[in-house]
Amino acid sequence: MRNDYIPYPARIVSARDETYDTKTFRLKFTEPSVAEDFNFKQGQFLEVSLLGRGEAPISICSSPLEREYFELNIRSVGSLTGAICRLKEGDILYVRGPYGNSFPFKEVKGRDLVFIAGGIGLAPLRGLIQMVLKNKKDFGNVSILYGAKSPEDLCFRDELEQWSEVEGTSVYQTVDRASDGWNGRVGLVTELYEAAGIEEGAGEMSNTTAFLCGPPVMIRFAARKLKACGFKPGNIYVTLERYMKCGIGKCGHCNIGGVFVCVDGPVFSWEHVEGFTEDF
Amino acid sequence: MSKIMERKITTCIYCGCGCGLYLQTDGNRIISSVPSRNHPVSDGSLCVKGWNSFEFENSRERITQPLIRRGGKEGKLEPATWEEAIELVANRFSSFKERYGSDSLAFLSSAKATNEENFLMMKLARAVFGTNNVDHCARLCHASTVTGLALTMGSGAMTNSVEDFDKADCFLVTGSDTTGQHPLIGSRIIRSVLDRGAKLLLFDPRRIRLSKYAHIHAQQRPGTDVAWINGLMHVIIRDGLEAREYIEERTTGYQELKRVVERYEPSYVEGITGIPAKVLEEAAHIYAGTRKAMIVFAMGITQHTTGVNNVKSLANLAMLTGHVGFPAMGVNPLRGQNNVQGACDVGGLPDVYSGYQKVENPEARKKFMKAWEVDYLPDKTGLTLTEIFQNACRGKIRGIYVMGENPALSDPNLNHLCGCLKRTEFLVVQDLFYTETAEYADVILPAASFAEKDGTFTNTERRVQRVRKVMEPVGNSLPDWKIISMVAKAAGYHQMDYKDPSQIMDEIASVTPIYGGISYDRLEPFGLQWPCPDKNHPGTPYLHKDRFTRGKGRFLPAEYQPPAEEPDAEYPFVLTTGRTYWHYHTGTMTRRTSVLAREIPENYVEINPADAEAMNLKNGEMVSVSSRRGSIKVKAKVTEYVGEGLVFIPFHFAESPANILTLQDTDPEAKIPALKVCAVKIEKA
Amino acid sequence: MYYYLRREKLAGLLLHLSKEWSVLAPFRNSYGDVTLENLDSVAENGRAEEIASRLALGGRTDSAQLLSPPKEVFFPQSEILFQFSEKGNGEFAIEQPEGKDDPSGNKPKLLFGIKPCDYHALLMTGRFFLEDNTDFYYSTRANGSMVIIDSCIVPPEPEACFCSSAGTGPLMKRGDEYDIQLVEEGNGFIVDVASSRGEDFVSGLENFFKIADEKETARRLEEIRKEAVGNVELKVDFKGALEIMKESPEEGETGERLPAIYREIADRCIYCGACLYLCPTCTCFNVYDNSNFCSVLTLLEEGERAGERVRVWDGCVFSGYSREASGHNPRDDAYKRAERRYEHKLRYDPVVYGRSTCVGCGRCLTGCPVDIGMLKFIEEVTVGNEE
Ligand code: SF4
Ligand code: SF4
Ligand code: FES
Repeated sequence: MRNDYIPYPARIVSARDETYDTKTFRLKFTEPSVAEDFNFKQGQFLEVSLLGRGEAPISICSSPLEREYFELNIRSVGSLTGAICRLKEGDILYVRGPYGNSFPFKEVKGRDLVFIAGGIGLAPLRGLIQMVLKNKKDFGNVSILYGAKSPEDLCFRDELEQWSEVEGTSVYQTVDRASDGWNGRVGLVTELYEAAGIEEGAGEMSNTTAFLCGPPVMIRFAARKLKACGFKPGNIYVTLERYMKCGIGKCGHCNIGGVFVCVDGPVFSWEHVEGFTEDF
Repeated sequence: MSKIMERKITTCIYCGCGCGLYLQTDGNRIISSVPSRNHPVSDGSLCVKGWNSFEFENSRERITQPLIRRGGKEGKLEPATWEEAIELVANRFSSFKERYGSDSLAFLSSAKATNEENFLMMKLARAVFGTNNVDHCARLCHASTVTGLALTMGSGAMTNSVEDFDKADCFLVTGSDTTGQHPLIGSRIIRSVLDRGAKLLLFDPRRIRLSKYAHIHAQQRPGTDVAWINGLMHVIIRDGLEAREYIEERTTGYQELKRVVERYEPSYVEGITGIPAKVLEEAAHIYAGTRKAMIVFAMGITQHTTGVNNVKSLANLAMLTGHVGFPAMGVNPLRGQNNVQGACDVGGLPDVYSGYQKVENPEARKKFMKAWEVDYLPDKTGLTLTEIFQNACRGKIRGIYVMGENPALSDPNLNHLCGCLKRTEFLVVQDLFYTETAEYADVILPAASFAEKDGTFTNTERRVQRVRKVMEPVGNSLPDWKIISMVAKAAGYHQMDYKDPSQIMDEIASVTPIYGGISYDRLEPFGLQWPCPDKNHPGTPYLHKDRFTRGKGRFLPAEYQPPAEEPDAEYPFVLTTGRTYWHYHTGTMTRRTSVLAREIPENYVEINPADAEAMNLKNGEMVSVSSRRGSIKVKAKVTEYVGEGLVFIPFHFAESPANILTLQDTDPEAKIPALKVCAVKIEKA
Repeated sequence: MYYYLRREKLAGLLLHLSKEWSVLAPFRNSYGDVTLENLDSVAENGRAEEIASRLALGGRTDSAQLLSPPKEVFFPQSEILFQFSEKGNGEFAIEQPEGKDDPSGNKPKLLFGIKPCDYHALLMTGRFFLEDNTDFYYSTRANGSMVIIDSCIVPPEPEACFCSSAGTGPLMKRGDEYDIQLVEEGNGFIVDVASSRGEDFVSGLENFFKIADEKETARRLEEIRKEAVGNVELKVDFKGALEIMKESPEEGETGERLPAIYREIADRCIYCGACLYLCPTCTCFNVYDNSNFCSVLTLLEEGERAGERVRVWDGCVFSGYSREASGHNPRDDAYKRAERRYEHKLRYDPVVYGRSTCVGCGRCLTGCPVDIGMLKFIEEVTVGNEE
């Protein structure tokens, strides 16, 4: 019988500093058969271990179309992630998964897309963005709205640049607190809406789908404002974070009301979230 | 067939409540803990620590092998055999004894270890090495209680039983965060107040869980306890509420008391303590006016330079109103550790043998010399814990043997203390884990946990109860009692050979009147409460029935004296230290228990919102807290649980040890350090 | 079919069964507590006499509740998920226990003498762990197991039992999902065999089980059921509570009452965890690594780095349970944790299981140091409801 709790070794192919406390790791399972069988969808997550230290849920931040490797964006917030962030190329992480549902992809073909991310909330969206931009001709306009605490907290800076060069794609960035050399916007991510053509009273945004990820407060604000700007809750997708110990609907940590974020999520339509009977 | 799951009843390793619980093993690991439904304390329940008491034993961080530091003080620890390690300890200690005399040695017994082991530790110190320098961390918790209550009433222990908390109609709780530190007593107070209408009078500078249920919560300034207790007595006498007949028949010294408390008028007391006069008066009336009233106290009373006076004053108060010597009425020091009561009972103290028999008493010495077959026992009171380290610093103490204690985190003024440890010529540490103290050790002896040995613990209500071996000691570790016997033998002493701990208990019973009737077969099912002088004695649920242990109760009035260190312009905050519900002492066990460690993973300082605002300090911000002795960095936790001008830091965390800051000034009689008050400043880090 | 089993045959039966099964039965120890113990651990010392004298079976004369809920057999409070040891170059050898630490060895478990409330709980934990993403460890331990029910004529904990309100007892009814129930009668037990698996089990054991008259026994069982239901009493309006909880009402009288009740519970609770640990249907767990990386020997570079991943019971009353890595805690307020506990059992689970996961065993009340518990909660929620 399959034992879902056993992780497999994956070697760090490369480790890139994203910000002062965030790194992007490129990984590959060491056992060819495991690598072979490993298929994931945009928006899914993995349980990542440093044996002896523990395990944490981390969303995959690369595109599922990339078969050679997968990428994880990890921010050092505690002793486990702190230790992971000290790892280098060639080191081993233990990984199991993928878990959870995924972002719609085929279903949103032909539509305009808005991605709204706060801080490292860009990571779970990144795989999907990469997929979309690779198949850009199948989609309408793409806007990427990205906010962080400070310019130093912005992740994937080079990529943001590249994305903005794709035709029909706009990238807007903002920070809560500017620092020297920042001449971009200062303010909340929702203040970027207008620039991206999302406005109150502009009528129904029936041909646009929004994808959201970030801290809970930001998600709430951003989604409510989207609604006010004519988005149907069913056209807003959020991905939620949670303390997740198993990933397979058993440990109970990720429960919100009757929902298991690890199996029923992490991607939810805002329509669904509005029906939650507990805070997230 | 593989090993069968086994479940055995034992006594919780954590607090002094002494809950009865079953540990279950699957052969080589402990896999569960569950309370006994019939045990008089646990009564089907446990606190979160008890429920999780099975985890730390399985920790892979256990020391599994004796270690010896080779190449001098700066050398490296290396694994060694038991033979070699024991030889070394015995030889070094013997040679110190020869060269510098017995009093160059000191022994720390342990409030975590069993009665049998503590008895052997003091026997090792006294009979084998000829010194009374034996003490343990009771010095840091209830030394003032033992002294204060012995002087006034004749016995230093809790007068009542845990069951009585289900019967009393009034609780005067002071200096005890009962739900946090003695959860299964705290829960009884909550039930009594909410479901039975009992009254709760709380005197505590901090807001605690119990505050919500208190009819009166008086938040005195830290260190002003004698003043408000005298104030209560003043009101009681002024309003004629004292128990005249009781005072007449059962006590002495009343006139003196009356004279002293005369000037503690409520308004005067208000000035000192900050407790409104009205509140004090009301509390006095409720306490004196309720027959079944219990005084409950803990470290908030004892850990002061005036600790003994605080305790005496509480005893005075109880005697004044005739509240001692009956069920559900009395003076109840809640003993912190699982076996701090027992460690004191069996003589882990510098001035007494087991059963509080004075070493200075020639009769007692004669008795023990005979029992132990030695022709000499020292007749001078030995050094206390605090003095031991001071003397180590001065080079007068050369060898220290520490069993199951972690002074390098638990004791005051750590910078100084660790300096002393470093300077100790030969330090032996016997423990489960590589503690902060063990880092200074010359020899480390791996000890078995409470689940790997037999023995007894004595809980706070004087109940001597069994601890049972549920699995084999981990790795090469051994139970403390075995290790001590081995050291004694290697030092040439041959009266310390026991088949099992029950034989040690028989020896304790034979020389200890209060334990005289105790033997393992009599401890079934749920132990016996001492005094239990003979084989037919049923044990004693409450003390001082009909007469006080010392004959007549003695009023010993005290005057208020300000604390040793008061806040000033430079160090404007009063720091008080303590424990949390989730962690235990230096965290060696709870921080190795996943659910507990997760709940409070790191240290913090509680600070009042008004103070925080004045400093523009946000919840969760890092601050540095400094006293005249040192400085630590911790997260600020802005909460109304502390009053203005007061801050609280738990002492569990080695990364930012609260005891860097505390004072080692002690009470002159009990030598207990003033861990509850010192002056600090706070700056954004 | 119905059979009759004489009490004096019990010990012999269990010993006989232990050849093929790993038999677990309720035994009373000398401290008066009843726990589920492996027959082998009891029989080692005293054989049949010891077994007979310590067995706590019989819903009338020896009605006793297990101290720990039987979930512990398939889902122990603490268990090793796997062990790891360093191979060098950062890789570890990972070893699964493969039921190695499961004392039953290869024999399937026979839980002999489980109360109907606990049996219902096992059905639900079984569904939870075995359906969708089967839990390897639960399934390994539960593989091939069977439960024999010992129904209650007299409630073992008269103050706390409320199975009749919760609809799980005191006796099983034909049509329920079970194999065999024992109902104490005279000097033995009526054996109610309700499934073909049950029939297979008794066939070949004619020595112990005597066929009983179908009609007469059915009539007698009905009588006993009436008596038993009377004994346990309908203590609370369980259905009424489920109705109220269905739509956690935001408004109206109950709408205001619920938050007040949660607040009161959160204030009173001392966060011991007993109500979750003792709940036969609570299944939450935490996972942690127990390694020797910081042990003194490893620090001295003696021996290899190794450890194990362990899971332990966990629960929603702890604030760390829902605190996220970022520090954000959706249930930071204790009030929300109290709400979680009651709504999970009475509001969310009924949707999944078609019935509440509270089975009415009453352990959360008897185990609570401050006398909170489902029984009291339901009482308060349904204040004002007509009986
Ligand atoms: S109350 Fe004390 S003795 Fe009881 S379980 Fe908790 S720590 Fe252990
Ligand atoms: S058993 Fe009672 S005190 Fe313990 S967590 Fe549950 S409700 Fe709280
Ligand atoms: S992460 Fe364990 S249940 Fe969802």
